Amino acid sequence: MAVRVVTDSVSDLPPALAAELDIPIVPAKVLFGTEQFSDGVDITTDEFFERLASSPALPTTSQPSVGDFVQVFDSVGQNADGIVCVTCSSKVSGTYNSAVQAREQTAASCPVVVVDSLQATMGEGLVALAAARAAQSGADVSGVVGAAEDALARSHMLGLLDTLEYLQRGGRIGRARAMVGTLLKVKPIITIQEGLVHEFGKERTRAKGLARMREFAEQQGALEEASIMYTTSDAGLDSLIRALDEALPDGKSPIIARMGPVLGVYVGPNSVGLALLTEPR
Amino acid sequence: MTEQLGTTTRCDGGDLRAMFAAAAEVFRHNVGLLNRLNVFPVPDGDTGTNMYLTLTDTLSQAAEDEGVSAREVAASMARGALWGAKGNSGVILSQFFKGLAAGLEDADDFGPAEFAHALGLARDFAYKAVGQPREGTMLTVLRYTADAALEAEDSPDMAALLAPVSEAARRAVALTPTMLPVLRQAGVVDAGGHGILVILEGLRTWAAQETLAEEELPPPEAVGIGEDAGTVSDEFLEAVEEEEFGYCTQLLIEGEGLDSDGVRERMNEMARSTVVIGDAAALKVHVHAEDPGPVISFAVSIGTLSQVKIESMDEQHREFYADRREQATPAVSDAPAAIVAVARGAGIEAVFRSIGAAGILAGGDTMNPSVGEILEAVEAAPSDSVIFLPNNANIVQAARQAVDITEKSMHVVPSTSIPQGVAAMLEFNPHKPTTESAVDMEQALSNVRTGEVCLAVRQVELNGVAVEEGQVIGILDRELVAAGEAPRDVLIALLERAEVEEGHLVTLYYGDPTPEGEAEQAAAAVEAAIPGAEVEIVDGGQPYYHYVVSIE
Repeated sequence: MAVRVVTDSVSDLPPALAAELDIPIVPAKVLFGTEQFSDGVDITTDEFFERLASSPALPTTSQPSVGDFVQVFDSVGQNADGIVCVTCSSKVSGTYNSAVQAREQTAASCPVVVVDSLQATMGEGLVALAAARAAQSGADVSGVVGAAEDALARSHMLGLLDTLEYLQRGGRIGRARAMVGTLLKVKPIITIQEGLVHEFGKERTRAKGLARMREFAEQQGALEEASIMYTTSDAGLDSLIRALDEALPDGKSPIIARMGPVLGVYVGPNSVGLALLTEPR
Repeated sequence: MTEQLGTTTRCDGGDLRAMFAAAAEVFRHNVGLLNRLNVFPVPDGDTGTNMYLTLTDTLSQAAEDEGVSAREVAASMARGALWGAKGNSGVILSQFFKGLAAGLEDADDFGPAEFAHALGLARDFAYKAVGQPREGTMLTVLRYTADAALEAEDSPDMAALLAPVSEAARRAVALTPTMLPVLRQAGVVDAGGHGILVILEGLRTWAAQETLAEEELPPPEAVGIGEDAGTVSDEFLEAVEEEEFGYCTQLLIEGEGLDSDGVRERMNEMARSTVVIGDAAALKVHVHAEDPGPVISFAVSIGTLSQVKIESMDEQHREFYADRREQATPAVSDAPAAIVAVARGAGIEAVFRSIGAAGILAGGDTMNPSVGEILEAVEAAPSDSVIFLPNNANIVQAARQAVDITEKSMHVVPSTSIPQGVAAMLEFNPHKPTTESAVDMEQALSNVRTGEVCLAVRQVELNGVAVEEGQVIGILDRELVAAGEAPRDVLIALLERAEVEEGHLVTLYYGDPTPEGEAEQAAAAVEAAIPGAEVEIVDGGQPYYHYVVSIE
């Protein structure tokens, strides 16, 4: 038996990669009015964005319930020495709280540790990935938690938004509030620092925004992992992918991930994300 | 005046005031002429208006008490000039008055010698006011006049002093096109320089007790324009020889049998301020060279080089003043900076407010705010730390003057157009230290190109583009690139010249001259002409300009 890693759907970990590393994903909820969907279970990313475009009201999201986590912990716990659950930032979502409460209620007899990644999307996903790799190599619970905590300190995330509108309407704007609405088209770039959304910069075109992201990636030096995320369009990402290929060790390529409904509600269509795990110092 | 007609030897404070009042009166008749002496045929920073308004503000502050000393009048005029300085020419003029006041600071009254000395200081102060002094401008004219004045300082009276001074100014104005290629191309002399000549003519007329001219003073025939444009006059060579431009170049040559005298002689042919010290095995060389290339090549040919250091002296100059400004800056508070932007047009003002400008100062072409007005806007901003966006080349200097006066921590991000101002604002990050934000903002200025479409106010031929008065012209980053009859066609020609292509964003701020609905059609025409370019239209509401265009 080994330690198992669990994460939530806000991580945007690609399903194939999650399956390969045996990481169960606890889905968050998306609500269009009174209609509720489980992220990645009964609504796909494409379906979600189609509905987002046609829906008059902005959908809302909610964290996985305590019960959702209990169910997964119970099931995984039957065959594990321990469970390490990596959640999205506790400062923007109640997911971490749900998981912590589920830890008290689960029937699993093995130890359960909940790690607040202080990140979201693949910024969180790369932390879960590092933890899962440690678990695969036979680390015990404290070793896997250590790997997760070490990774979250090295995890960086940028998001290039087509518009600030969704972040504003969704109310998760954090300290990026200063990027008030504008009479001009502006593509905001946001980052997550210490668990909160911050403004990183603004550009007037997608091409310049992508160039700015590439520049950021190049400044980080050698990378352990990298991921490019997008909501609806992967157009124009080639040069960013090439730059990441350069910075990654031989044989590794950036992980291409779709940003799912939860992120989609806040960043909107045509958004692009970049998550990096820098090499340990 | 204490002497009789024509023999004015000693002047008191009242005389000082009267002589500049005479100059302002003569100047008043030349405002239109000076405004027309513009490189670009557009209604931009009007030199005549700016200098005149600076002069009247100068005089309005001049002490008028009975028996007032020259010192007091000069000091009060300098204060008025500083406060009232409008546009780059106004700023330089205000420094002229500051220098004059410094020269007369011990003078109850003055004669030709003291006045000549003061003109020397006026020249020095004017040069210091400008980050990168350029010849072929007002500065050159002030330099010629100061040199002539100091040469004639033994003159028996003010009239005798000011006659050769005015004559030197006339020579300098005529030379300006030989020093500044853009003037030569446009076929004009420098407007600010001619403005100085007008002022000196006013002073001379007063001293000589002549009737003040009520006609325009025609600019002197330009040297170097026309048939012999290709030849270089001796006077021109003399003028450039005194310039301190180029590169301070230092290096160490190591070799065998080095001949320090021979090396010095060769260096003198290629550079100025030559210092060569050392022995046959090693020579230390320090020179000021217009082009350090030949200096290095020669050095390589005779030995091994090390410790090579090449610095632009223009850069040193700028750093020197930047340092001084920094030292004068009061402690920076932690509160986020407020941004004050110069803008004109309801739509453009709204854009600046929407991206976070705390204050808008009305101004732009034909309406350059004075140093005093800039100060008021900075003082009114809701923070002790202010970032100022001039958004016009002719307002940058006045803004920099304000930095030295305000108690607040003020940073000027030298934006020279509305699109540059917008690009800079998008870089502002209230969570970063203000100085860091200001650096980011300044770097962003080059991310955007600026186009302007407006009517030509006179006929001109520039950069091979012939323009008739009343035609529509297109200007790209301050360079005339297109002319035609329809604003839309000129706009497209301008964008093609800017090599706009797929993926570029073109923002059209349409102004008062653009009729309703025309901007939408122009945008469609641009999208048709340049497939893949994104076009955004904004109702700028600016005067004169059909379109101000941001290209990124």
